[in-house]
Amino acid sequence: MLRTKIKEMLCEEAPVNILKGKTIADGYSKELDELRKLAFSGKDYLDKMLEREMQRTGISSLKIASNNVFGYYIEVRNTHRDKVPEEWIRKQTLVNAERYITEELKEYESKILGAEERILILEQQLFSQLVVWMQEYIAPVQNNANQIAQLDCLCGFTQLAEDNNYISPDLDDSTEISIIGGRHPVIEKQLPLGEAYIANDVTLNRDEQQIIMITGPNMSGKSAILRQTALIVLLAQMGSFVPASSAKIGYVDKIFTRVGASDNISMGESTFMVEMNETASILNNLSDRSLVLLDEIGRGTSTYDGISIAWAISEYLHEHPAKAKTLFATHYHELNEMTSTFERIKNFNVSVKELKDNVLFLRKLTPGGSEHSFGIHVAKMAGMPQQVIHKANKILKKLEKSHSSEELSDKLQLVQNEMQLSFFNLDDPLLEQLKEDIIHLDINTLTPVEALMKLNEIKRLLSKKKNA
Amino acid sequence: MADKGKTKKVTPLMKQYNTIKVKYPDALLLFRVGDFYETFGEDAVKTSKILGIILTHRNNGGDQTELAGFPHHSLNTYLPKLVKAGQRVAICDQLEDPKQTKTIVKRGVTELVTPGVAMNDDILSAKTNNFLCAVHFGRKRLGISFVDISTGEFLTSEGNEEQIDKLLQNFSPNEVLVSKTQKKEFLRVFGQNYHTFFTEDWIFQDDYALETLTGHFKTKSLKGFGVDHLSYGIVASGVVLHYLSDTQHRQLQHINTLQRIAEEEYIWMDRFTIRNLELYHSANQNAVTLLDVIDKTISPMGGRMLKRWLALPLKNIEKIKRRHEVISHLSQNKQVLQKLQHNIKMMGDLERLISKVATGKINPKEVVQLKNSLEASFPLSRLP
Repeated sequence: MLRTKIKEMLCEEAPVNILKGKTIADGYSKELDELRKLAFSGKDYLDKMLEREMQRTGISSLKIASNNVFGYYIEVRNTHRDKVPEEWIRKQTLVNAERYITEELKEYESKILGAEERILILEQQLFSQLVVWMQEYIAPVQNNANQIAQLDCLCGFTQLAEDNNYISPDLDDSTEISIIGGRHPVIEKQLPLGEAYIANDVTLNRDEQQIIMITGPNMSGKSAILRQTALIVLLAQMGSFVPASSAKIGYVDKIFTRVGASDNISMGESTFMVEMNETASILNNLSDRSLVLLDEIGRGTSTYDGISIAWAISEYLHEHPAKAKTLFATHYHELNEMTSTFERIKNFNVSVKELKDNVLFLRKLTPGGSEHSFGIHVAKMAGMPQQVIHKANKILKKLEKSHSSEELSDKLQLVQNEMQLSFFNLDDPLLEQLKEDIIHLDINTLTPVEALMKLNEIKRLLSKKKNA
Repeated sequence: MADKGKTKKVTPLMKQYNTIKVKYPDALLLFRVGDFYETFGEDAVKTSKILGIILTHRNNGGDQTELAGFPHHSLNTYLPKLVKAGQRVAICDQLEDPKQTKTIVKRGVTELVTPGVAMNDDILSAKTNNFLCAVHFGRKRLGISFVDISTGEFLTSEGNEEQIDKLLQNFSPNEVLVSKTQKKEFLRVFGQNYHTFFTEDWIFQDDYALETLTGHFKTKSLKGFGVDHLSYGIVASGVVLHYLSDTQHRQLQHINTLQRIAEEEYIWMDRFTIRNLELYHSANQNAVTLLDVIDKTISPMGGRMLKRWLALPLKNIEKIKRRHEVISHLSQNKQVLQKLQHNIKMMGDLERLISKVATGKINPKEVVQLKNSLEASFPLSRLP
C-alpha cells in the first residue's frame, strides 16, 4: 500500500531539497503534468522561434539564452548588428555581441516562470499531503523495522558462527556450567597469524566444583580464562553461538567480575578501596545462579593482607547458601591450601614449562596447584636490567627460606581451626541452659508479670557470665 | 534584511535578538540574518572557538559586539560540531518572507538541538541510539526514562541506585536530565561522566508527568503500557517528554508506546562487570571490544538492536533457544541466509526514516529511500 502510493507519487530520483523540483512523478497529478509540459516544452518553442527569426532577419548566428538578470534574450554577433529589426529592445552590449529582448520573448518568459512557480507550489503541497498520509503507517513500519533488526542480528550471529567457528550451546535450567574447548572471542581474533588460541575446559557446579582457584604466573592467561567463561555464557544467553567445542550452560542470572587493583586514579579513589568496594557489592548480592569471577582480588595491598582477604572472601563464597559458581584467579599459591578444608574448592593452574632459567607459557588449564609465581621470569622477559633480576632472585630465595610457604600455610590452617573452635564456644553451657529454659516455658500459663520476671532472670544470668 | 544591522542607533535587530536570547539563556543562539546564521557576544566567542571561524566585531551604536556567523547552507556541517562539543543550540529562523514585510522580519526559535535531542543524520551515528534520559530521585527508589527521538523508542524503569547506575551504563544516554534540586545527589551517585542538564524542579511532579504522558498518548491512564505502578518512572518519563516539547519537538507521533525495561528478565551485570569484560567500551582506546568482534549486522537497525541484546542478555531459556534455532536453520540453509543479507543490505534506516515522517522533517529523497527499503523488506516477510 504505502510502497505503491509512494511509487506512483514520487520520482525515483527525487532530490533532497524539494525546491530543486522534479519531486512528484509524472502522471500523478494532471495539473502538474500540464504545467510541466508548458515549462519544459519551452525548448521546442524557442527552437521554432529562433528558426523563424533567423529566416526573417537573415542573421545566421542568432542565439536564444537566458540569465538571471534579463531572463530570456536573443544574442546577435556584432557582424550582424545592422540587420537587427527595430522592434527589438537592446538590453546589453558585450565586446563582440549585443543582447536583445522582444515582446514575444517576454510574454513567453512570464508564462514559463509562472508555470515553474506553480509547479513548485503544487509539488510542495502534494508532498506534504503525502507525508501526512504516511503518518498513518508509522506503527506498522516501526514494527517492520523491529522485525528486520532482529533478523539482521540473527543473520549476523549466523555469519559470526560461520566465520569464527562457533557452536550452538546447550542451555537448560540446571545450575551447571560445562564448557569444553572454550576460547576468548576477542583475544582469539587478535592473535598473530598462524598462532592458535589454546582452548580450555571449565566446569562449574554447585555440588562438587563450586569454586575454582586458578593459580599461575603472571602473563599465563588466567584472566583470559576467567573472562572467556563469562563471555561464553553471555553470548549464549544473548542467543548467539559460542566459541567452544561444546558448551552446556545452566542459565545464569547474575554475572559479577572483579579485578584487583583496577586503577581508578582519575576518580580520586584509592585502588584498594575501589577493589574492596566492588567486592563488597558482590558479596551482598549473590544468588544461586550467579557467576562470580575474581581476578587477583587482594592484590592491591601487602602480601599477607592480600592473602587473608582473598582467603576470607573465598571462604565466604563457599559457605554462603547461594553456593555461587566462582572462578578465582590469583598468584597467591598459599590459597591452594583451601581445597583441603573446603570440599567444593578445587585447584587448577595454568601450566608453564620451566626451562632452565626461562619459562614457556602453555596457557592450558590443568588440575592441581602451582608453586611459583615466576614474576621474576616475567620481569626478565620484559627486559629488566640483569642486575635487578639477579638481586630479585637472591631476595626471593632469602624470603622463601624465612617464610616458607608451607609454614605460612600451616599457620593459615591453624587460624582455620581456631575459628571453628570459637564457633563451638558460642554454644557454652550457660546458653544451653537458657535455651532449655525458654523451650520449657509455657507461655499460655504465664502472666505478664511472670514474663517480665523471667526476662529479668535471664538478664541476670547473662550479666553474671559477662562479669565472670 | 541586510539593512537592519547597519543603522546607527540601537538596532531593532539587536533588540529582537536580545528578547529571544533571554528565553534561551543556556543555549547558543544561531540567529538567522539574511543568508547567514549569526551569533553575538559570548555565543560568538564560543562559536568561533568551536568551529574555528573568524570572530569579528560590529559597532552597534558605539558598543562593540562580538560577532561570528556562517552561511545558512553550511548549517549541516557546523551544527553537528557545535552539538558534539556539548552545546545546546537554538536555531532562530526568519518566520516570514522578507519580501512581504517592510519592518523587521519576525523571527523565532524553530528548533533547539541538544546532544540528547537530535534528528540530524550528521549528529547521529547509525549504529548507536541517541538517548535522552531523565533520572528522578524518589523517596525510596529512583525513576529513569530513556527516549530516542530519532527512532521513537521510549523506555522507563525504576530501581535502587545500583540498578539505575547499570541502566545508565547500558544505554549510555547522550544527555541526562536531572532536577536542579537533585543535582548534588546525582553527581554524588553517578559521577561527572554524563552530559547533564539541570531543569526546573516543578517538572518533576507526579500529576504533571501523568498529565503530559496521557496527553501525549491520548489515553486515560498508563495501564495499557503496564507501567502505571512505576510512579517514579512515570515522573522521569514525563520529564523527558516535557523536555522534547520544550525543545520545539512537538510532532512525536512515532513515540507511540512507553515500554518498561523488564530487568528481571535479563542477566544482571553491574557497572564494574560491564567495564571489566570490555563489552562495548574499553579503558584502552585502541582495544578491541566484544561488540567489535561479534557485530556482523548489516543495517543500522540491526546494529542498534545488537547493542541492546548485549546490554540485556536473556534469562528465558525458551526465548534463547528460539534464537539458537534460527541460527542453526540459517547456517544449514546458506541460500536463505545470503538472500536475507542481500535484502537487508538494500535497506535504509527504516526506523529513523519513519521517525522523520512523524516529525515532518523527511525530504523527498528519503521518502524514496523509505519506499525502497520497504520494497526490500517485502520478500523477507514471506520467509519462515
